[in-house]
Amino acid sequence: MNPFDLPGPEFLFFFIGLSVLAIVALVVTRKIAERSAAPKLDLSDPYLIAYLRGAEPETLRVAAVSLLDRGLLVATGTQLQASEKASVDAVRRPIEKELLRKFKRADEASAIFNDSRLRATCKPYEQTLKTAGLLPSEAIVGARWTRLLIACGVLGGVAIVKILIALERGRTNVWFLVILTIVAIVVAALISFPRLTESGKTMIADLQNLYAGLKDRALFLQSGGATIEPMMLAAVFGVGALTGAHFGYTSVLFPRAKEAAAANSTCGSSCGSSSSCSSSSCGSSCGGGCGGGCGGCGG
Amino acid sequence: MAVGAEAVAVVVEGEMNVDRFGLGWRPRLAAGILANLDRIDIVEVIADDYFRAPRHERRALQTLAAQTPVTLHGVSLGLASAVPVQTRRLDDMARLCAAVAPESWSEHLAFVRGGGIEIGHLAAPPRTEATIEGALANLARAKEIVGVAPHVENVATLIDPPGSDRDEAAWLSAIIRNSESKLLLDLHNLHANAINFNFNPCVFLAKIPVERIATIHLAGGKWIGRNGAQRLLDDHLHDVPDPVYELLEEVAARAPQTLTVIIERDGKFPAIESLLAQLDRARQAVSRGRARALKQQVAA
Amino acid sequence: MSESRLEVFLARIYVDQTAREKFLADPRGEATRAGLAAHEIDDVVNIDRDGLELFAHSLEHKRANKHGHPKN
Repeated sequence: MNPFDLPGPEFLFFFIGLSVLAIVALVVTRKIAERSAAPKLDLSDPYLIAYLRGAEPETLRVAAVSLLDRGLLVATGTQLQASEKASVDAVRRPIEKELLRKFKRADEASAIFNDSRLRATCKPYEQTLKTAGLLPSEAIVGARWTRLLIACGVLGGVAIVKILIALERGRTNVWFLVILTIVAIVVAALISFPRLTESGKTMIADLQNLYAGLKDRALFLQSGGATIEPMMLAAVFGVGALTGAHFGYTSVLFPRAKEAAAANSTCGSSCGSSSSCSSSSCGSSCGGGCGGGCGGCGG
Repeated sequence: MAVGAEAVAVVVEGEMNVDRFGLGWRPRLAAGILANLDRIDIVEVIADDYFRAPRHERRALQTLAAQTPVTLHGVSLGLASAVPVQTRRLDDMARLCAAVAPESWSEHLAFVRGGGIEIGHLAAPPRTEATIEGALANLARAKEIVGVAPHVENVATLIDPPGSDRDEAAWLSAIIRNSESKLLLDLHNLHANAINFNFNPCVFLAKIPVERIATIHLAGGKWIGRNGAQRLLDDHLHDVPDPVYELLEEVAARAPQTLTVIIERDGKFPAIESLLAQLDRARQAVSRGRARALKQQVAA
Repeated sequence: MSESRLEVFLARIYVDQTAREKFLADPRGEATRAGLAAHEIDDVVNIDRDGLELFAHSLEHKRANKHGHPKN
């Protein structure tokens, strides 16, 4: 049966089916092509993880909160300023040095998002993650374009052929097909360029799983830069995950991050519960109980 | 190689190998461990926590294994029993090993169930020919099903196992010498048993095949008492005590092969820096032991 | 295999307080009723009672912590 001989309404159903198939094929082939073994990352750098999860805005938020936590930045309402004791030599990461330079004079916290010098300090993170296959490299972007163009070529080609046949047969009501074709191509384009590769998505999910215990203890994390834990929590889950009283300033400085955290709270709790079997007190008949592992647990 | 740590090189058949030092993986310690992988050579994951875990949790373990070497540690097989280990439990371990590809796996020479009753902890079995044979049969099956023999760990016991006709060193040695398994020597378990049952841990070390030790566990414990009786409990909730470091130095002086030393901490977690400091102390103990062995070799 | 009966017997007195109390009140009787071999009966009659009590107590503590206590 030649699909081009189908009458109008039937052909539209066929074309919708073909579009769905093309879009699914785009997604599946992209996932397969962009999946690779988990790379080794520097997990001592929360900014690298923040960049993976939320690009420049998230990295800058986490860096700002890190400096606030260490007393190197001071928040007054929605404004930030470098503290008197702050010196660019006191910090080692370029993003932190640039933040201290920027806030030598008080300014709105939101100003970090439009500062080109600050954004430039995030470039090394982007490059590292591209090399690791977690963000799309030029080669990956090229492959995405190729797949998209093939899909669009197929959809567009089928639509054009049908339109020509219809016109030849004196049928001029081709607008549904034109609109469908445009919609299909737009949808295909939208799903073809996610920010992360499949490996990048997986890495975020895995890190959120590995650090789930941190989220469960968010209220009790020590502030003041004593440990890396609050900043890793912010990097992996967003600054909105810093729910302890010491971090109340984050909701004033970055209200959208807090809203995003609240919106994702159902996911957060399920991520938290995923630690129930990773806590070493679940499932292990001899390792379970008060201590987990395989030790005793006291009398 | 850990920054600032003393690398202890052991020349084995012309290759340079290095002793390694790691921590038990606990979610509570995740951030600290992952931020300090330059000072941690390996992590040990409790396997049983992942036997029934959903796919995404196992995948996260694979990601962990990409960051640092991982070894899996089982706690519920009950290998040292006259009763065969249930195949489904070995299948669980096999599946997890296939998914995570750890560099090794280990279990305890304990029994953990009997007559349908789960003891809920590792119990020292009667030290008899039957439990030796049972353990050897279980180890052979474990190797067949999982694909590689496990390292096997000595257990701490609060009770002198009734029905025993030999001491722990003899029993352990018989199993190690007649199997393909290497020994995971838990030095706090040795220390606790030595105190509780009045034997010399150095004499124990002299009796066992130290050349078969692959891994060492370090942990801490506390004294417990009831009705006037006191025993040292291996609870994994305290810092590694001095005598255990001394035993570690002793092992390092006697064992020619490289060692993997892992600190187990299951609760009352100190700051990660404290655990890393204990790991550094373990490095120093091994270093001293190796230096002593070298001196003795030169003198001989 | 009589050795398995010993393991079953030990598991029971480690975990079950009633079984343990009965055993401590009449070790030879309970061991005989459990079908242990003669040499095993002699061994368990001379069981390390202090260790038994401490081990059983630690198991109870562990079970109590597993159910309803905060995870580490």
